[in-house]
This record gives sequence, C-alpha cells and structure tokens, in this order.
Amino acid sequence: MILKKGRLKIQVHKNFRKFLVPEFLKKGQLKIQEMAFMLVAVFLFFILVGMFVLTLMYMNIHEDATRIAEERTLSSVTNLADSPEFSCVASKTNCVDGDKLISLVGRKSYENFWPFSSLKVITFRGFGKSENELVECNFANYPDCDLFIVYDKNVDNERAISSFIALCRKEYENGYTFDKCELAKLIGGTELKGVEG
Amino acid sequence: MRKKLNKKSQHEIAGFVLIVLIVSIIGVIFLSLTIGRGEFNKQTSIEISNLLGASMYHTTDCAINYVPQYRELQDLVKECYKDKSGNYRECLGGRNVCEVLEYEFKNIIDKGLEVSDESPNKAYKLDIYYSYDDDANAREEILSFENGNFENCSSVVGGNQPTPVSSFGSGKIEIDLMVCKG
Repeated sequence: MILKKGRLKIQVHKNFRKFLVPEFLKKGQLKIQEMAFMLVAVFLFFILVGMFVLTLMYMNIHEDATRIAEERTLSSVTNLADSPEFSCVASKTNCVDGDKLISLVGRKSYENFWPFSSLKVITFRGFGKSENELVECNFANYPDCDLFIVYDKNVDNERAISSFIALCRKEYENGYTFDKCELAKLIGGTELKGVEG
Repeated sequence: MRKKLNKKSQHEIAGFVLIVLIVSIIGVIFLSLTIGRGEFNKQTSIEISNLLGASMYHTTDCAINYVPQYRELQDLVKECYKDKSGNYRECLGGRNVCEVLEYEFKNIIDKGLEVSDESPNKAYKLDIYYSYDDDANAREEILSFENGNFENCSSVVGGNQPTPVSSFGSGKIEIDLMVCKG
C-alpha cells in the first residue's frame, strides 16, 4: 500500500507520542503549520489593505460625485442667466436684466418651468445682510431693494447654489438713458430627495 | 545539518524583508498618488471666474467725458493701464482712474466674498497685469491688492479674466484672483 506524504503526517499527528515519530516528519508538520499561518496572515493583510484602499476610493468617488453635482447645478444656474427670460438686451454674458426680473417676481406659472425649487436674486446692496434684513423687491420699491424672489416652493430639504451675475437696469440722467450694472447673486435651490430634515 | 538549517532561516529572513520592502514601496506610491490627486483638485473655480466676469460690468461712478457716461470696471482697468503707460487719465471731478478702480474693485470683492476668519473665505489676492502674446513670462503690473492672511488655507481656488486692450494690440490685460478657503 502506497501512502502519500500528507496522509502520513496527519496520521503522525494523531499518534500523540504513543509511537516513535521520525524527526523529519515533525519538521514537515511544523513547516506546514508555518506556511498555513503565513498564508492566513498574508491573506488577512491583503484584505485589510484592500479594505483601506476601497474606503479611500469610495470616499473620493463620493466627493467627486458631490462636486460634479454641484458644478452641474452651478452651470445650470449660470445658463439660466443667459436664457431669454433673464438676459440683458446688450450682448453681455452672465447678465440679468433687472427690468425683466421685476416683471417675473411672484409669477407662479414659472414654478414648473425651471428645474429649481426656488429662484432668487440678491442685489449688491443686499450682500452681507442677514435674511431678515433683506428688503423684498416689488414694483413699488424697485430698484431700492435687496431681494428678488421669482418663486419659492418652500420645500423642506433644499440645497441652494449661488452664482455671481451682473444685474443691469436702465437709468435716466441729464436727458440720457444708460445701463447701470452691479454685481448680484442668482440663487437656485434644489430639493434634496430621500434626505430627512 | 545545522549549517543547512541556518542557511534556510537566513533565506526566510531575507524573503520576509523583501516582502516588507515591496509592501512599503507600494504603500508609499499609493499614498503619494492619493495626496498628489488632492492637490490637483484645488485649482479652478467657476464661482471665482463668474465673480470676475460679472464684476467687469459693474458701473462705477467715474465718468471721463460727460455725465452720465459712467465707466464700467473693465473700462477703468483699460484706463488705468493707459494711465500707467504715461497717458494720464482722470474722472470728472479730478479723481485718478487707478484710485477709483482700486476702491471700487476692492469694495466689490470684499462684499462679494465676505472675507473674514470666521467665513469660508479667509483671504484673497487680486492681480491685474498686462501680458504680452509673444512672451508668456513678460508681464507689466497694473494693480494689485489683497485682504486677509494666506495662512492655514484648506484649499486655494482661483479664477482668471482676460480683457483685450485693443484689436491691434499684441497683448491683453489679465485679472487673477486667488481665494484662500478656510
């Protein structure tokens, strides 16, 4: 009967000093044990390293996704300024016509026209003021006001992205009409779905 | 027999050291790649570019020829360049165009970015210079100002706004704005 070396060693393991065990067989057993421990250790080590790498990669993917989503919203806000409803008559990019804007304030029909849950413009004189201090714009106080609210759906979970724009209007002085422009912020709110407040 | 065993253990130690070295090298390469990628993300910002682009249309209270021909900020940048080139320019009322430009531009950036130690924008630095088309390194300083300290920034974002001086010129005026994020 021919026995394989491995089977022999297992048999030796079961002997427990009852019989004399050749020295080379004990060494072989130790070697197998060493190798098994080493393999387990290496396996665990690589699993840990892999988990570490995956965590870092996942973190980066998450950050990249958030950044791309924000950039997309920001570019859609920027594109909004150049849409015919807002754009200045003069060939200026990223410019909103204040006289058009005031006529859009409070129009509910635009709530479903743009993919934003709210749309607001803060004028230059409104920069640095708190929300309570901002004077809302209407036909009576325009242009001496701080905040144009085109519409606001008042959703619970909203993330607002703002973009700097030039807000221009026509002014009249000394018999001349001219464009008066100032820096302003166009703020587009996006509803965060699936997030508890 | 003993000599043979010693040699074997020596080989094992050498193998173990080799494995440790390889793993360490892989770790260092991986870490350097990760940190390097982080720095790459810092550079451009649509927000800053939009701020510079929109501020160029800002109407100042400086009229050069008659009222109400008030100049936009981009006109004052060009006028200031002419002033620095020796062609003295001033607004009606006697104020120097470069002084008006600095005052108005600083006011716009300060209000737009809301720079302070507590806000997300800790500091900024703005450079206006003339760059030549034929020599990328040559530049002529027009105006420069800053606010806050560029210390302990979590990231630095920036934007650039080129403004052509004239159709026949061999260069352009560039405006660089760097912002330190807290």
